[in-house]
Amino acid sequence: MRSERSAKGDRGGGMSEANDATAMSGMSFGRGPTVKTLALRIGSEPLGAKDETLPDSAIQILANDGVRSSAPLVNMGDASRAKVEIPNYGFYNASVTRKTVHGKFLDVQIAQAELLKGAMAHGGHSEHDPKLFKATMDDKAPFELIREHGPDEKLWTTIRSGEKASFLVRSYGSPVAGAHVTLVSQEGWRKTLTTDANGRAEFTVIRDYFPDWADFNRRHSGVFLVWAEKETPDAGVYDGHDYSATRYQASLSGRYYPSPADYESYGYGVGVVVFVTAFAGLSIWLFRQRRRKSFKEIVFNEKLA
Amino acid sequence: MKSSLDGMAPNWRQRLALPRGIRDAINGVDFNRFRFWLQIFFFVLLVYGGFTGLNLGNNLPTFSCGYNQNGRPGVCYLLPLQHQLAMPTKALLGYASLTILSGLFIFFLWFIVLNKGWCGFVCPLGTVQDWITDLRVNMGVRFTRYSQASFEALSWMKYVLLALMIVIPLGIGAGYFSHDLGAPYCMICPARLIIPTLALNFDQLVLDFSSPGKIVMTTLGAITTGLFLAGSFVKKRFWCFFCPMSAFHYLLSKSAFFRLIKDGDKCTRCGDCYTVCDLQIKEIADDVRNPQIMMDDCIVCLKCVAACPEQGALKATFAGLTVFESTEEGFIKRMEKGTRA
Amino acid sequence: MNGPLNSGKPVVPEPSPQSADAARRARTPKEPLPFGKTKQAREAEKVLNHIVDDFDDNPKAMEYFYNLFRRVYCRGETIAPDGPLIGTTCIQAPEELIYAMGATPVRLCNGSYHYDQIGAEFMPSKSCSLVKATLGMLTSENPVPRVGKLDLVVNPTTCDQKKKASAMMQDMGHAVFDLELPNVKESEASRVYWQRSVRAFAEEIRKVTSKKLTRKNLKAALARTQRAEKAFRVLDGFRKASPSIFLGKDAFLVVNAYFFDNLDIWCEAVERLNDELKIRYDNAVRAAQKKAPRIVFTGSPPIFPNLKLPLLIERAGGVVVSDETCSANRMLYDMTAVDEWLVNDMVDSLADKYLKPCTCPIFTKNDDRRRRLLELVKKFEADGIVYQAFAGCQVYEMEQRSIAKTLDENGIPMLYVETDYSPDDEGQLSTRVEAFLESIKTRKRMRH
Repeated sequence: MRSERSAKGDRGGGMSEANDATAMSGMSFGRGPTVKTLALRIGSEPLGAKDETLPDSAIQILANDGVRSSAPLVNMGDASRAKVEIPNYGFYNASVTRKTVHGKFLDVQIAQAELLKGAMAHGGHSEHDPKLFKATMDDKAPFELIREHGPDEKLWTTIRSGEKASFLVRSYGSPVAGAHVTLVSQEGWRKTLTTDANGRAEFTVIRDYFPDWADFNRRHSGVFLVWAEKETPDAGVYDGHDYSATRYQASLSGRYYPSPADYESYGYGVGVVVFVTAFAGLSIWLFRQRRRKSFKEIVFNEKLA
Repeated sequence: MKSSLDGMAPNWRQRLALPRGIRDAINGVDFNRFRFWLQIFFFVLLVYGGFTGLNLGNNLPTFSCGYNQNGRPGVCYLLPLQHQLAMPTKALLGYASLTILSGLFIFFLWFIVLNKGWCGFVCPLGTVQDWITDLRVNMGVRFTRYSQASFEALSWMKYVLLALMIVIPLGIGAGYFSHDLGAPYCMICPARLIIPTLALNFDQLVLDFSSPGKIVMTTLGAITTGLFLAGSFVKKRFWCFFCPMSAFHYLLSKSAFFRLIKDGDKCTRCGDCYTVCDLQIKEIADDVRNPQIMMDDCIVCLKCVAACPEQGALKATFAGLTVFESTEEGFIKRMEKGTRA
Repeated sequence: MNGPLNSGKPVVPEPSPQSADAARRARTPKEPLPFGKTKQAREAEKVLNHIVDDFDDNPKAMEYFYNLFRRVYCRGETIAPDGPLIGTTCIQAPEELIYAMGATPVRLCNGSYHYDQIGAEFMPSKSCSLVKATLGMLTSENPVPRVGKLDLVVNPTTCDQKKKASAMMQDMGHAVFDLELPNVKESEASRVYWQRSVRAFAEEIRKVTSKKLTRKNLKAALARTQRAEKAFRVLDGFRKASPSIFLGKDAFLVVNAYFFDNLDIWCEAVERLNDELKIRYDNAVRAAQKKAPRIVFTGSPPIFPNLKLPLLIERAGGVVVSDETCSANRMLYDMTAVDEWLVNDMVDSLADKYLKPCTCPIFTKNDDRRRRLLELVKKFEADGIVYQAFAGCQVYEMEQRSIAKTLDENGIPMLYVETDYSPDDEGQLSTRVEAFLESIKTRKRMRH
């Protein structure tokens, strides 16, 4: 499931990078709580994903204070959209589930999204409760895929190529070992890992943005898709069909940005500073040496008629 | 034996003045040492204070650099100001103007307490420059002065930087410039490279090649930092001469509580104040008519007050009450220390 | 270099301005007089006796100074210091530089009528007495104070007569260094010019003493003059007391001693004097009457033994509480501030101190002098100003108008006296001074 930001509650201006100093605090220009629009899609890679509909469904939302709510998934022809209100600062866990029986398997597909009402917190560590920085996990979910937040991640998420993205697979609050987690990048590069005993799979986000030098945009974002799969021997009856095993699949998407190493150079930076200091220093020294000789003479311009 | 002052009823200033003993202790203080330690205190506060979770807001009238994200206890007002001015013009003319005005007002409230004393005692970049100066003195290298002609030619630069600092963000908001030119003064401010580095955050030492605008701005920043290092080695408080925060302060300084006052009648025009002035301000020595002697370059470091041998000729006052004034005994004590060392 | 200051050697007459003097000596060969009987000694003794005996209750610490002048001026004792000796003709020559490089400065300005008469033989008739006396002393066989041979004379280019005296002193056989002092002190160009002059002067001293200027020796020199300036300021502070506890005649004597006395010994003596004055102040011992008119003395410098006018004022019942003259207050009042204690910085700070607050009338503008006088009147609670101008001193005479106007605007009475070293006008002056003091007393009575 992909999320789009609605026009309401948008921040103006491209200040999304975490290495720009940012100094706005909690400035939301909109009136009322932030609203995000979610779109349901289906596919195995971001570029090829298509819109999908799911009749009579609602998005289940868990807020970071434990409050549950839901938002109806509205059918709009081939596509379906849901508008989700996120009033508090922090991360929200949203999901919608589809169950179908194929052969002897019950396929439980859970499309998840992580919604953020964020702020470019600046030095105000105490401004927001650190509990708000964590991902919101649902202990009642039979199967869920959670993106683990980085240690420095506060109320703004920026994943960059080259950084590690760590995911946690859980079932009813407990970690699930042995689940297959696949990460697909914008261009379709994929990798599959198996979760360890703690239910964790850690990927390094690859770089797949190679524009011409002149077209390079540091704010270019790609979408990654990640899903976890696990088969369990849970058997039962669903919608009049028997099944003897259950296949869980939870999916999540997110954005990633070019790595600063692609466009930032410490070498050049420090090099320019050192060079200018040395050059200026030398010039000043030569100037002072020259001043030891006679002082500046007054010279008349011969060219004046 | 009566002096002619006996028998006169004390006016409100004398009644509120500090008791004689305290006044003498203040006026006779080892000024350089006092200032040195006060600057260290503020440096630690403004460069590392954020690690304790301290948050003094985003309207500080001094270089508590915003790019030092973990260490700053509050943000230098110029950064949010430039960001706010870069908002779309329509927003600026609408509700956002309130945001800017309220930010400006809080900045003003901080500012009027110390006037330009924020520069002389608190600013961490100023402190770094003073440390570089101390290094030079210990190395025995003499300093450089601007000739009067150069001084006059260069002194308008701070106003130009202030104007650009305001105009370029407005241009961004109006769509003429790309966002890569955002926070233009911060991009060329040496504090952006130096203060975070001193807090062990090396992110600002990079040149950003992601777009032409970024290349230009980060290169300019590296160049000004190089010039800063070379310049502040030979010239005392080199950057303060060009600083737009200084110009900004001066425009608001008429209403400040903390002031530098000169009693021209007592002035012998000996020029001692000019000799010690880091910014080479002539008026402090030559102007004997105007009591409001704080000029646009002044950083209110009060070295002039400490170096004046005439009783009461120079005074630092807070809301009209004298806090530190030039005294003969204080002068003699301080100069004796210098010849002893 | 052999000069006329080496006494005892017969001088061969030369075709020079001193020929009249030399001819006279050749005409009347006799045994040299014992110093105590010479004209200059008798002149000094008369004044000194007057200072000591005709006033009551002199401070005990003044004994040192009375004895010093008696020894040097009346008995002709030699007080030659060790090391090179550099004579100065004006206060703008930075003496800290001289001390730093191991030499000793001595102020050559002379106050003796006897030497004035000698100098008159080769100087124009309308010349300043001070310059005549100084030059007269330099040509004399019995110069006093006997400080020894001068290795260098430094002559700041101040007034016309001092400037032209430079060449005359060279003809007498002295090594003279012209210290280039600008006549405009407001401009940046003049400030830089003066700083360069002072640096050139330091170079010249180095040639004489063969010692280099270092941080250490310059700091030590600054510490010594600082001590003197501090002692002077404390002394000056006591003169603010009303009624006075210390008379101007003694103050002038103390600072005149600075011309030639050993710096450290002088400081000690002044510090002892200050201690005694503190006791006097605490015990409310008066040196003058409560109603004595308080006078600020300004103008051409009174130099011992020519303390004629100050003595007249104090004999007539007034007190000279302060002064704006280069033989007293202006020598020691201004203090040097240094920012960085490096040699280059210290030398420039010194240069500034000697130029910028200087209220000598040789500068084009006299704003600072006018403000200084007003401030002195206020600080010392003075009742009036006595303005002395030596006959022939064009600069002080010309400034009289603007000073009179400023004082008039501020309601301060001024007595303008044009005089010279000769004692002939004492009677007339005494009358004028008494009248002036009377008018002040009347004003004070009327105001209360």
